Amino acid sequence: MKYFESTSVFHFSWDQVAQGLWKRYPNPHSKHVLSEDTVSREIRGSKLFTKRLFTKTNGIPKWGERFVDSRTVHIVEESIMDPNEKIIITYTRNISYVRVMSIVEKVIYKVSKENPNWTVAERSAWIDSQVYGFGRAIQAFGLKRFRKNCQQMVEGFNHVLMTMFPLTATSLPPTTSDEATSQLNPANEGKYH
Amino acid sequence: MDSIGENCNELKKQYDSCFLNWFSGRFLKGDTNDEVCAPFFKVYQQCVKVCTYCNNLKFVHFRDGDLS
Repeated sequence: MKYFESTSVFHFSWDQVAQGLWKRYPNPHSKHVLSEDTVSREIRGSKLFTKRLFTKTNGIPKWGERFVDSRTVHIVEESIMDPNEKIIITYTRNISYVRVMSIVEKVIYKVSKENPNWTVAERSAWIDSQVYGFGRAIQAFGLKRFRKNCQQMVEGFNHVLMTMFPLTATSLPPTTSDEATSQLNPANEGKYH
Repeated sequence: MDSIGENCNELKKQYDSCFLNWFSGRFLKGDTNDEVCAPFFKVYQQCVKVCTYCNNLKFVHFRDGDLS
């Protein structure tokens, strides 16, 4: 089992991020996402519980093809949005090829303590493989790819947020508009075991 | 974003549009009554449930409640 964690900051308000999560696909960094469907949604108390199903291209290297004979993988994302506490929690996991490689990702989106107009995303991921003899290699591959995909995800989401909220995007001060408007904090990265 | 079932795209679009309006206009402002989009969700969901099984999902092991 490999573990990974990282933090990103989006220079958009919690409300904007919440709206953006429903519109994050398609974006220029999401060619691997083929479909998105809401399969359940309900209010419990004052919170919104949603379950979505995604199909994505599986992006496995040639050596992995012996374990997987389909080009696509199915992913479920469960989310809880609390507009009073301003917290969003998402749990995302693949539901096909789970034995080959299982990735469970949890993200918590909260108002930034540094700036109430920003949102912090704290990400944790657990990567596992049950394949006899290849488990460790698959986990290592999975972790490497996940780390790379995180960067893509942040860029893609920022693109969507900038498109949805151009006034917020243009009001970003000059020092931050040239760099990516979010940062992954490598200091929080993975502890392997 | 496309639906898993090609023929569900139109129903999905209608539901998504209703939901997004409700989400930003009502839910984020404290109104938790989501009845307004229920009829759109019902027909869209029926379409998806049928199509999820026509997409060659033989390697998908849904846990109980994954699609409920």
